Amino acid sequence: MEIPPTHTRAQPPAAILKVRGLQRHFGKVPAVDGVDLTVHEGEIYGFLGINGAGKTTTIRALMGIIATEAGTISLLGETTRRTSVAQKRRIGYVSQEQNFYPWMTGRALGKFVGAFYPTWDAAEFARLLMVLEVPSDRRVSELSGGMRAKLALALAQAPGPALLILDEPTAGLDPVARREFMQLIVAQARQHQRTTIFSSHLIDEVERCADRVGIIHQGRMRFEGGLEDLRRRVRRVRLPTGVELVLPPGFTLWRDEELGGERKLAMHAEPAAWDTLELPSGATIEQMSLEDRFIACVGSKVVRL
Amino acid sequence: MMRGLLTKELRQHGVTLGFLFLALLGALTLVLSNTWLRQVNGGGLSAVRKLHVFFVPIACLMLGQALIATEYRQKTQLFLEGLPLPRWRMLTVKFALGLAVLVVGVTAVLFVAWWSSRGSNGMTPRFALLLTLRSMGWVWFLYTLCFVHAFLGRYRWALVLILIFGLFALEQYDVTVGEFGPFALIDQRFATERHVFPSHDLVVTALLGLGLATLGFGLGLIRDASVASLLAEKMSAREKVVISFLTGAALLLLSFVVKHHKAATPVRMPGAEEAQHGVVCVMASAAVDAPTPEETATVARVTQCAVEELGALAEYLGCKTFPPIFIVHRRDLAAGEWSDGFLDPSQGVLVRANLTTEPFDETSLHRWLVRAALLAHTSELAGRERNAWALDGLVWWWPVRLNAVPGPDPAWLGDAKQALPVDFSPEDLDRWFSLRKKVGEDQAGALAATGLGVVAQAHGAEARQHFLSAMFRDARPANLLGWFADTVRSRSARFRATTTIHEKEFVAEWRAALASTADSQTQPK
Repeated sequence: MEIPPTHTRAQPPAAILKVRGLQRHFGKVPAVDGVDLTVHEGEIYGFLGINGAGKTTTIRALMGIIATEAGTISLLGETTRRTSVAQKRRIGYVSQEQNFYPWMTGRALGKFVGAFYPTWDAAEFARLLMVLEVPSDRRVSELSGGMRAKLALALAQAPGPALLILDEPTAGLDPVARREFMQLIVAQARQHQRTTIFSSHLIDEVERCADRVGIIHQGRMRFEGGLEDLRRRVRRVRLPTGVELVLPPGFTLWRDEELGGERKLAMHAEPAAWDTLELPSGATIEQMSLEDRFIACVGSKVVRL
Repeated sequence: MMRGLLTKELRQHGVTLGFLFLALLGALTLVLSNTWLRQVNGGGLSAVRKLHVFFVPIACLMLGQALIATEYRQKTQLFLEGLPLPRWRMLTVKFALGLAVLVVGVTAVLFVAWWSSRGSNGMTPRFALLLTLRSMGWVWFLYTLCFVHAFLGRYRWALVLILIFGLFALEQYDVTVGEFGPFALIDQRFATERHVFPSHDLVVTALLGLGLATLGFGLGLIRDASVASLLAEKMSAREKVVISFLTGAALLLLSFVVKHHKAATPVRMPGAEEAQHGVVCVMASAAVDAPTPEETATVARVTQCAVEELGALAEYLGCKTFPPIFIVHRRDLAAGEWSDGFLDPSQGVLVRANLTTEPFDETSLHRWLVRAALLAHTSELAGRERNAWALDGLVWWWPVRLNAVPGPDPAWLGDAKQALPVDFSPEDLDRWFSLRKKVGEDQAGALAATGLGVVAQAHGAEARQHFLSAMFRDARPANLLGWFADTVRSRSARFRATTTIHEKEFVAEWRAALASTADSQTQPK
């Protein structure tokens, strides 16, 4: 079941989350170094980055689990340095690892978690468990990884949150379970018009589900925008052997590859600049997949093979 | 929110709480039985003190483990952190729940104790208040200590070991832990002191508990609880080795400190005959009301002989210290009967014997004294099986050394040949106890003495002296350090270092010497 993105609006909706200049170090290592991030109401935001890029740290900071050293978080109309308990009550959160109490059943877990949310809907939780086919009377220790992820999703959605944050929710799942789980997330998000942020290092997952993406690398945001926007801004020029290209104004070189004498330059520029780009003789603009663009963004800048 | 958290804790730790409840019932039974059945003064309240000493520490540890350590070990605190729940509130609920369980339990026990003792203990409101303050102060201190302990993750049990040994070491430095703050609250006065408030101890306990609670909350909150999370991680194999080594080293150090600081109570023997020879001091006295002149003279003579024997031994071995020797003349003992006084090795050696009975075997007494003195000198390490043949040989040889000849002495040859195992090897030296048990002490002693004779004959009397000195010269503390020092240099290594030959070669020499020497019909020495 492929669910196409629905956001092709002329006027972007209001921002539900705006992060500016977020910083957090672990020791001397900058885990997050001035992250800016904007998520609009109702959209599905794919937070893309390789392992260790700073996705989880950013999300834990958004959840108020860890403090930030600098930066502001504007969440649901309130700007703070650290997310408050009141704000957290309006966020559904699925962490990377589901560290539930192993002795609890799904039902008991719902009862326990429900006590922390004034808007908890027990009937909705029961319905979600049924829809997601999670046995409510089985102990967490007896559930598979996929089942636990679904249980976490039900727990996160039952309070009817304004924002759903999922930190690599499919990590550790097999491809089939991963695909089904992401379909569920997208379906739920579309059905309830729920703003959803999910982090991942899997490009196909993001490409399939996200309306907009943010690419983080080494603690900094490298790109933020729609997938179409990314396609239009980042392109690759293939240069025949011996042909050089002087980087035109307004263009940024993301990756310079040379394979068997053939050079490929992945560049970022405004769409209008691409339209007016004068290519040297023999040079062509070639198609790039999202994965190519992602690698150009976060991979090595110069590759000579 | 709080209710949900409390319910979760109660459900999760139902088994622990159930166990504590059963233990509490047991404690109540103890209180009642002490009061009603024994009817001793302060019976029920004494039982409450026992409860504080034995039950409360276990309960505090169990609650700390269940409420805090388990949460971090299973990483379920990460799940709680994702909920709209401030971290401080999560910790406060856990802290308060554990404390409440203890306070309720101890209050119940105190109430039963008051009620059951109301007639016999002169229970006044002041006394009741005193008991309550003492009890709650103790509970507060122990609980906060265990609260901190639970946050220490993988290091917590190593630290407990070091703490216990550390307190023990402090006791040896005349720092009476029992008189300090929380410990003083449950001292012997607990069940009897009705008037004086231990204000200082209560203030110290309250502040100490407050400090510990702050430390516990600090560990659970600072740097977004990353400290507690990191401490709760499992130990790597390398870390296990390092921690085991460090813990062992710390315990060894404490053990060393304790042993070297512990001042043994000196044994006093008023009116004793005293003689000194170098580092050796021998005191002898007659444990009778009015010693006869013959007894007095014998005691003096035995003292003199003993000090000369042992003084010469100390010089021969090169001992810088030597345990004091006490000899007590007892008329009720039979001839040749040596009764050990069982002093602490650091106090010396005490032997009781009938010195005037006939026949009195002075050589036998000296053998007994040489063995006992060297055992005391080395904190019993000279008696380990690995050292036993050398000790047996020395004990057997020393009192008759002036008459002994180099090589297998003919006087012992018969016994030695009887004791000699077939295929005599260095392993027999390692299993000397078995050999001794099999052939008897006299035969084993004779065999060992011939061994020393062979050393002297083949490698010189100096080699024998160096070997025995290496074995028995150094005083060893009665702790791990002493054991380690004795273990790290094996007997065979010492033998080789002092005689320059391997024990294997020596044993071959020994066998050959015994085989080539004709039996003697001389009288045993």
